[in-house]
Amino acid sequence: MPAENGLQSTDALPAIGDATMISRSSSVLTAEVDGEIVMMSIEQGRYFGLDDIGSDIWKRIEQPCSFASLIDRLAADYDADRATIAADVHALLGRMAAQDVVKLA
Amino acid sequence: MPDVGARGMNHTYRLGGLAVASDIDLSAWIPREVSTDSTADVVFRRGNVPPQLQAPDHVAPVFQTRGRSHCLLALPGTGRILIENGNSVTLEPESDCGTGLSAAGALFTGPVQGVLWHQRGLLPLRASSIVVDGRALVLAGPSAMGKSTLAAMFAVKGHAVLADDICVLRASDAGEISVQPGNPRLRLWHDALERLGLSADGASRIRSDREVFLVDLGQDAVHESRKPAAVILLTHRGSGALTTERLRGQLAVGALDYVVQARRAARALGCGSHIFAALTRLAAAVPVWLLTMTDDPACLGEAVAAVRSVLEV
Amino acid sequence: MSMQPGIWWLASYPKSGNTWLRTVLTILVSGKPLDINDMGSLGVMGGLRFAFDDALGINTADLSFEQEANLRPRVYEIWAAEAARPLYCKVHDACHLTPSGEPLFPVTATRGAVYVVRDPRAVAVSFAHHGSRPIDEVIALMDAPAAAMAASPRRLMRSLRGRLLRWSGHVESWLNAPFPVHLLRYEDMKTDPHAAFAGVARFLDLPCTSEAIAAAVDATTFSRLQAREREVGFSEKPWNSTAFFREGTIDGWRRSLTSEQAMRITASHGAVMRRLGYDVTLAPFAAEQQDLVDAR
Repeated sequence: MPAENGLQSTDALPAIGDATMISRSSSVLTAEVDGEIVMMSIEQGRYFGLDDIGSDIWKRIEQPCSFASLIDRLAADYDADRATIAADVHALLGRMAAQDVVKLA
Repeated sequence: MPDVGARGMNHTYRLGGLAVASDIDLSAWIPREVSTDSTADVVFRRGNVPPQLQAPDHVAPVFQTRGRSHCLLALPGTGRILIENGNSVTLEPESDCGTGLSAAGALFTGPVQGVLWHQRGLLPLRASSIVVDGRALVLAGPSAMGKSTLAAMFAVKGHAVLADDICVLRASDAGEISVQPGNPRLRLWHDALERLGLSADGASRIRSDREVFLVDLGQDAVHESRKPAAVILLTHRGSGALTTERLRGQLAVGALDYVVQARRAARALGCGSHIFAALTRLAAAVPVWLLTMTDDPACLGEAVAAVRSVLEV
Repeated sequence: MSMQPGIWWLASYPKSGNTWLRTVLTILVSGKPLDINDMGSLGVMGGLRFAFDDALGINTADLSFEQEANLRPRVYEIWAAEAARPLYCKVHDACHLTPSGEPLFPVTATRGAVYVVRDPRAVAVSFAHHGSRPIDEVIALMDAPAAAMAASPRRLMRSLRGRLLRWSGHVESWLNAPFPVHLLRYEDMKTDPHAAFAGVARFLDLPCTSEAIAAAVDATTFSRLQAREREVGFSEKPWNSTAFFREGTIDGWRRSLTSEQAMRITASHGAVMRRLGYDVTLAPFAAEQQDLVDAR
């Protein structure tokens, strides 16, 4: 849910609904090193990496897809209930969007 | 890269696998090579350098860039250096250079060399490299971490010095990485020479205001590039034990980024993506280790042993 | 207010309590438990060579001391411009002008400074242990206008050269700085740490509750820091000294200095000592014993 008031920390989650399209941002470069996805923000020159689940999501959004279909596929592969997965992935995507790693449309 | 006409250049050398022509005598720094060819890949010359670039893209306290092709270094007290197109370096030294750094020395400072190699699409690291079992061991790190001193510990045991202070990596079209031969003389300070039990006799002193020398430890020069065996990143803590830690993934790449020569200028020149690709390829190809040393004199010997043992893994 | 970027200098003559201040500030700024070997979140130490090389894009090792000093304000300006939050940078340099005549610590990049000061008689004893040097040599160093750290021409140091001036000159240079300076006495940190660190927090615009300060004070008592060093080591301790958190007392110098040594210090620095509230008539314990013996 977006923040209610203006004095909000950057932890506010962007609105992500079932139909929101998730795609890779073109402003990062990526490479796989030692099984990890390593990234560089082109504009800032900063390097960072994705953890296991972040790397998995990254691989799955090679083709843009909707939030709902992403969660469907994750729920099929991970042993947790759909609602929990959706909440965790929502938060993770929010952080990735804030770093300009993914685009939410 | 078009060949640069080198007529009238008295001094010819080989550096990083390239033919260098210079009107400044660089022989204190790199071995001379007689060349019958009048074309050179890179030309170093003394000449006029403007105080600023026309229409620069990026202006920083000591350097400016325009596009990929032009970088101007302006160091009050040393001089101005213009590096163009990865094939031309022009130096206008200040007449009264307080450090006593010679013109040749100014050309061999890390950033000058670093920018040149970046402009040519190569990857220069702040590192010294020695040959172990036919491969290049890359000892990398910021200034004053002991790269040259540790390289000297190997050199006195008979290992050839592939490069000191600036280590140039090249990737072939197939993506294979090789370490190019660079300056084979080690830059060693008075106290380091003492620790190593070496004398400065016969070595060239490269500054008038400091006791630092270029020392030739007597092995045959290495003319061919070598495949890298490992990258050892050197860092320091005040006290405690020497430690080694294997770095992987993002940590390895981030640490390697830190030791890229002339990192800021390279970004300004638009080399950021290229560096990322080169570093990720390097980290995927060879093990990257972090070696933490202290000032304890016993640490140097321990470091050699620690490096040998990680190479065997 | 405190989120406005810029640099707060944590300044002191060596061995005056700067590290203790940093342990407390690390807790107050980060809100996390203290790791004495990881205080980098406050800001880079204001003289580390690799940080300068990185910011400038050149090798400071190829420069003269003068060239290096002239470029330092440019680096501080870059740090202040690129930081997303305030930086707290430790420095031991005197607050002086560079050879080209501008302030070493540029006013535009600076929010202010906390200047930690300690009785120079205690500093002399601590400095002697830290550098494994004779006390007489340290007393002479504290009286030398050209005293500097990391100034050897024979080795490449990890820090840039830092000009100290005489101890009195160092103090006066900071008290006369062209930006706000909060004076913090080591002795006040010892006798009433809560008040001392609350004052620092106010000066630095850190919104710390009284409970937060009390917890930070509790976590950084000398015996706690000493015990921690014994357990995990302290990366800032020189390799050849026995312990960084060694004694930490206010009047330990009275056991370690001869009366001649103490007199030399008060003769050189008495004016500034009095200005800071130190009792220049205090004598080493041995001297007092002798007076008692003589008086019988």
